Amino acid sequence: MYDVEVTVKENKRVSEVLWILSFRSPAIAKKALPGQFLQLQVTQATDPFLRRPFSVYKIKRDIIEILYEPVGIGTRILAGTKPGDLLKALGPLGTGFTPQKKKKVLMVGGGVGAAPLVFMAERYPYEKMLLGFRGKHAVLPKSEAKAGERSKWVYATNDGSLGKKGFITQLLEEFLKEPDAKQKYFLYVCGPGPMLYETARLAGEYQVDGEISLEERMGCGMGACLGCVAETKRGYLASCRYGPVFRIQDLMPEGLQCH
Amino acid sequence: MSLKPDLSVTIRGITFKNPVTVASGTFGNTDEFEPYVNFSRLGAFVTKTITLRPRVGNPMPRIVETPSGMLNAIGLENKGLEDYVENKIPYLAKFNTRLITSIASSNTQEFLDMVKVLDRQAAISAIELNLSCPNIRDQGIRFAQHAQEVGDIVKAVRGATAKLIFTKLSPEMANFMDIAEISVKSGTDALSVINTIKGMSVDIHRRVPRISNVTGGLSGPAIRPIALRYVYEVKRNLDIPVIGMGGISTWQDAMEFIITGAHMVATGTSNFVNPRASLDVLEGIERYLTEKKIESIQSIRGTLKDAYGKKEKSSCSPS
Repeated sequence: MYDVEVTVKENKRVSEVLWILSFRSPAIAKKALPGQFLQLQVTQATDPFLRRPFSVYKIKRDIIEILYEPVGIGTRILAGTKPGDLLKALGPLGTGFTPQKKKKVLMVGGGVGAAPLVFMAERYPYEKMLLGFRGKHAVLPKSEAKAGERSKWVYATNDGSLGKKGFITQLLEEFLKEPDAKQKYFLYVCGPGPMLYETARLAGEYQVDGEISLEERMGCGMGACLGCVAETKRGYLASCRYGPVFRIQDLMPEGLQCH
Repeated sequence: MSLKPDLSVTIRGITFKNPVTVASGTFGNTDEFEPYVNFSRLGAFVTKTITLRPRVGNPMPRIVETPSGMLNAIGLENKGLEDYVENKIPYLAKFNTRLITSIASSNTQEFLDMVKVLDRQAAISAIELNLSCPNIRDQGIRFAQHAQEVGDIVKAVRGATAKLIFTKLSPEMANFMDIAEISVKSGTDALSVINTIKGMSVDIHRRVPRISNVTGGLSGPAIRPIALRYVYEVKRNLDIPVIGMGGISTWQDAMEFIITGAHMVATGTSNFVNPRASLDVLEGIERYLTEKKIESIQSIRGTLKDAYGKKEKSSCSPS
């Protein structure tokens, strides 16, 4: 784990709501695994006070990319940063996704939760990238897919303005209905609470194995404050240290709803 | 070449190599900060409060950010005394720093039971009595409100151990100064000032409290002026070493507490933002003393003047 001062290289908008920020850190770039996250300090001032957790979105040589949506005080500050601005980055933190050798991978993402899935997709083979967004305006464009893999990206939007109208979990269920789904598929999941809850429910119903990355608000990111605990079958576990990636079967479904 | 200032502090004959420590609950219980901080450089390592039996803590959400700080209501989640002795102490004993164990309980007898176990642990230098955790809604843990009750606990513990006893107080306690005074009379070796202050935050869209416990303990730079004022009150009225804490993030913050009279200072919530905060504070204090050619931390402690730069009249004797 490193705590480094980094210089913003680029900060660009890729849709009406999604932004990508990049900076150089050879140390973090070398070590970070898909599913791991960084704690970014977005201001030198004491307000906002805490660092913000962001999944690593992509690594290009020694450049780290973060995918974010300006929704709160921290991410709005981030949207205002310019190349040359300084940030502090702590990481890589937490657990990563477990690469699969035998099963085919279905990625299931909602909104900015696509970030760790895209990083996994950059490094490992997968069958489909199922992504849900509010509408066309909020979509992560297919130009973000690796060359030759655009056709693997499938969208659902709540308002039907792009791809299937409805929830991404409805698309997921079509795959899970396949007779050999249990032996065939493994899920990597990240997104908002209701999506995680429904995905976990479906995974249980069709007995398909997988992993969920929890996007929990965090205090320290190091397992000290116990402010980000996940409800697991082994009791509360700090999601920053024992997660953010958990096996779906290890999580209590009720705990997912309020994410 | 300038000489290195003497940073050591002594509390009832026990010497700490420097005045910098960490606030209970903000630095984990074992290796959480090991990648960032060499624990052997700290004056002391204070562990997260433990209780006799394990506690699962409060449901989520447990924390919320607030202006220049945060509210927390973790609910004293911990694995209990037995796990602490078996699994945490052997790890912490490896470091060349003093170990301070923070404990909380529901009653005097349970405090005593815990202290008797901890007293046998050679690795522990001090026991901090957390009498002021504001986040417990059940009857499991006592939030001490009455001076008599605090006096009874401190006196009982005093009788059970020769180790240092630190008593942690919060401005939430009614009659703060009465409680501080009775803690001293009952034999505490130092006061930890301050614990968090109860606060609240509401999500106006969902119309719900932002943490499950409704209220939580406010910490961070937002409470620093309040913490400093309580250190001042204590030092003006009582002759007792104080561990100053509450929003200390930088060495400048720490020096305010030391000049006001604190023997030691603890970084707390700032550890979450800057895991190296404790060492940054330590290095800054050393630089400050060196540059000002002050030979020891002891010679600047409690040297606060009045607002016109004259020596303030105080009942606290220089020690």
